[in-house]
Amino acid sequence: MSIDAATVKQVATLARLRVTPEEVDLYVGQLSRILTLMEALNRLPTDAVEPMSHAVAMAIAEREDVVVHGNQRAALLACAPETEQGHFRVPKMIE
Amino acid sequence: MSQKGLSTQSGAEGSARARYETVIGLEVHAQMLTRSKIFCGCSTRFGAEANTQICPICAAFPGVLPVLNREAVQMAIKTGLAIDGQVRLLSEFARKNYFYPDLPAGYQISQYELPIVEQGALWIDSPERGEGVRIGITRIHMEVDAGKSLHEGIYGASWVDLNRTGTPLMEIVSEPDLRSSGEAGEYLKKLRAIVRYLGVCDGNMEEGSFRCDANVSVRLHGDSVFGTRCELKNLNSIRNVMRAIDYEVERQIELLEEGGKVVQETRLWNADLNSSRPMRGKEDAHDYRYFPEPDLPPLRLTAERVAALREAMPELPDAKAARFGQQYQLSRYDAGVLTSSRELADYFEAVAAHAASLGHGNAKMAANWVTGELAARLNRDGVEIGQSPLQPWQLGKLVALIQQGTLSGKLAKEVFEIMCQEGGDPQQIAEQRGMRQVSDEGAIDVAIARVLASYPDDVAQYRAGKGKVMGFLVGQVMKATQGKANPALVNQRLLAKLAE
Amino acid sequence: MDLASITLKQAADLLRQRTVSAVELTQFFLDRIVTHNPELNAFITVDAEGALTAARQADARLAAGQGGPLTGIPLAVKDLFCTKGVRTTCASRMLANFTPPYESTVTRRLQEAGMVMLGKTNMDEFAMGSSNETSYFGPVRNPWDRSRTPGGSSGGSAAAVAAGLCVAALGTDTGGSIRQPASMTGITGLKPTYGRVSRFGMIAFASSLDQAGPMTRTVEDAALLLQAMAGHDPLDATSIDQPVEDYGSLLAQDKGPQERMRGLRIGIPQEYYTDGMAAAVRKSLEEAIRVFQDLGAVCQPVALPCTDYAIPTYYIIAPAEASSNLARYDGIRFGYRCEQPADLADMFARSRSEGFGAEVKRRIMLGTYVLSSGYYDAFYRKAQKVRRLIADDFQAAFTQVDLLLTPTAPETAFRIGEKNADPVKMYLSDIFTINVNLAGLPALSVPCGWDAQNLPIGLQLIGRPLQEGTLLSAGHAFQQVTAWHTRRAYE
Ligand SMILES: [Mg+2]
Ligand SMILES: [Zn+2]
Repeated sequence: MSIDAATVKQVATLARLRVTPEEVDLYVGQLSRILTLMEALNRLPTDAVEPMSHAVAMAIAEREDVVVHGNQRAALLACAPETEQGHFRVPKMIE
Repeated sequence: MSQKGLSTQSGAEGSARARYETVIGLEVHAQMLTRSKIFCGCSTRFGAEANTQICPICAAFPGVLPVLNREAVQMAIKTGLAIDGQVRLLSEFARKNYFYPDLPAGYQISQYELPIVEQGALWIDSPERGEGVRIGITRIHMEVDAGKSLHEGIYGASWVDLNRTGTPLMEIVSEPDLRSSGEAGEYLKKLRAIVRYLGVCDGNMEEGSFRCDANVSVRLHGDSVFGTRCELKNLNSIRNVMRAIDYEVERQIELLEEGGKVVQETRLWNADLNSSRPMRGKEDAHDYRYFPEPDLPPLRLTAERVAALREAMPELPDAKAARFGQQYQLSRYDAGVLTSSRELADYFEAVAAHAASLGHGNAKMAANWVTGELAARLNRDGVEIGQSPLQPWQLGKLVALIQQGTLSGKLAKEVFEIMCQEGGDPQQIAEQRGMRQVSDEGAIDVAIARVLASYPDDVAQYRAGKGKVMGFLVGQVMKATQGKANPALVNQRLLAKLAE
Repeated sequence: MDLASITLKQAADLLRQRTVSAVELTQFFLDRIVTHNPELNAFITVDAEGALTAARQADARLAAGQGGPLTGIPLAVKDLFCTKGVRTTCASRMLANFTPPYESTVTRRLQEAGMVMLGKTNMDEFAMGSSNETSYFGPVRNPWDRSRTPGGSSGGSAAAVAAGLCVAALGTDTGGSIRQPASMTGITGLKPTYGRVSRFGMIAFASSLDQAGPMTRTVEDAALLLQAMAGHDPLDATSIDQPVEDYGSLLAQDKGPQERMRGLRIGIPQEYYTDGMAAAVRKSLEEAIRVFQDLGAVCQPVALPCTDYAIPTYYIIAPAEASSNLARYDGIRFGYRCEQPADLADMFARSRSEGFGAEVKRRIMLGTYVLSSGYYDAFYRKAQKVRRLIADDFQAAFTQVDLLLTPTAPETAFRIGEKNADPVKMYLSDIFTINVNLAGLPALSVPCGWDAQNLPIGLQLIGRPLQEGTLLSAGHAFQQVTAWHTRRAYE
């Protein structure tokens, strides 16, 4: 299994990562090698197997509909790189 | 193209439109009326100061985890039952991955392969296809709402307010079963009435707690495959949904008639310009990379839990309308209007019950007053039935007074006006102001004699066969009695006198 | 007594007897950190002030005859547990300046139990790595040989315990990140059953695999620490709502090792004995098997046929979850933001590209790819199905035996830089640990020998879900009759 440069760039765009041409080459090689390793799974017949998304079989526990937080704005905004008038500030968005 | 609109085009092109069938599917996002958010304990109150209702969980800080709000599940189940859907005893949350500044986790927790409700339907009265058209509902799933980005008036930046982030949403997806903008409007009214009846959503489209996206395509009648669809967004009222659909249908037909092709895209409706435009393309094609949410085990419901909610279901609009038709002898139309909201229906029933308790159970008249005089008044003042200036007993008593002949329709309208302005008991108002209807034959005969004496020419005309004059004479008698005379009695006595 | 090699149990006794005060003990370790950390790089942040404050409070409680086994015990915490008011970096440039305004459930419980947190330990960036070399704050050095890695990702915690810079430490384990470094530094490490310990406030790598656990000098210490960490947490929907066994009392019982082991059935998975296993590791394992047999355990071969598929399965599932978990690092609410972004897209891409290191980016790329449309079924869904087959293997084995015994890692500590060039080579060093995470099982690593280079070797015991007690009991019995766990990397 190999992955080409175009796919690497497309994946990087999806993941919001900027990749240099050298990184593209590096990923083409490394990801292809890893994906080859993963091809081993195709040897196992799994048509009748139920996918397993959780390590332990359990059902969700629900919480009661109660408001438990007061205003935590100051503490949370203090973590942000840029804020303005009680908001998180980001570069101008179009639309 | 809105300027040249198809309606003004030649007959040939007009008939071109008739060859096309419109296909519409609606996706409604309804904010659920829980107190706290779906996965954390922040308040969902609308209108708070920016970012004062956020916590590390809904703001997706490192290491936090979601815990599901039980009430959101209850509300989704109720809605599923109300649309005759299948409530899945096993459903699952999934992550929908995309980057956006007001989506703090970089994914929306939603439901994908296993939604909580599948295969429902509701019935609408179609303007084109008639009564009782079934509109399928593919699914209802729960998901989180995103935050809000602010742009206007901010120099060189945008602001992010996460108060709304994490508010529970139900996404209600219809089948492509709607065939006109009118049907889309009816579907939305019905769905909104249902969620309001259930108390699971306030249905406020302007504030965005009940949002609708429309998928619209056209095809030639008889085609078996759907045309290419466009998704319409930013539709913040039922009127706008309908206008945007009409615009889109015309746009697509025109495109096809000119030999063009519809391109699948998302279009933003601009209500001010009465037109839509394609949304600026995202940086990449959508690839949401859905996968089961590892932080939340599957949601398992017991049949008992669903049954208990089914037991506790309130009477819903269709059932109530059917009952109103039977119990009160109302037309399908009146019953539909009166059951459009639970509050209105309750109000009407209280009016009718009060009138009946006074021995005058003419519900039809009560219905007329509620849908006529009162509705007009509320409409004029721009308020809902909850803010009605009249209590049901006031209107109920007024109806009783009319039926027992104490008040004429005209007098009743005056009393209604006074009650709206000043409040009070209609009977006392009528008595204090001497507004009692005159049903005394002697007094009416005196007034008739006076009128006949005053208008000999008209009497002669009547007797010569000009029946139309009758109305004028009745009017004069009513005027002579300051409108207090019982109109039926006036009619009867006048006919007798003229026949003499 | 040599305080540097003191066990948690011993320290608790000394503190209760007031032979030593919590402040003295804390200061002792703070001093050792000042001396040795520059060379080992085990800590990213040392919170001397906070530690001494906590120690004074502990002394007050101890003086009043209050407090439990953890009161006043100086611990080190892996730098991915969010600690309120104390910088939490996840060893990433992305969070180099992040100070959480909230506390993880595990550290909150330990604080309530009286822990003294000395500081936050180094690790692989976002716990992605097996050698601690991916840390933004530089590699950690193995106290047994400073040219070698301590393993990873909880390498800082492992090195701190092994070098006597704390009494015990917290680690997390997604594919072996507690057990593999424990094995490579000659200490004891336990990965509990998935859901036994709350993940709230633990910075996520792969949500369906991550689990926190103790890293200690002895199995007894692991039992005491786990006791305080474990239990249902309403803030974590995947935490198990079942009572916690009293692990401390279980080991305190006056039971001889034979009594603990007699009749216990131990399975030896045949698939683990491959060419990949170093000769010294194999030899130590065989000796360990004999030790257990001498204690009366019945050792028998078992089959785990899907073992070979664990690595590909893990390296689909873990990066997929990680690619999504790490989407929140967008430069908006916390963490690194690039200088002067041209626009929003530039801010997203550049903040993430500059804030994340190479291994993290590689896994985000891989995870994004295997989830993307057209590949989901071939990779992600397939891996989830194989995950079930792997879990079924274990379930079948546990119908025949009570425990599984394997090496923890195929080889002893490798040199810094040795496996950097090839990610696949690095991934293979988790070959004996990751299937346990895929199946959600508890597993314990204890030292069982040293190789010719004087590097420690660990054995792994794997138990049934929630059978931490059985694991601890067996591990304790082993330590009752062997002395490997008493070896020190320092004088
Ligand atoms: Mg949606
Ligand atoms: Zn919140």
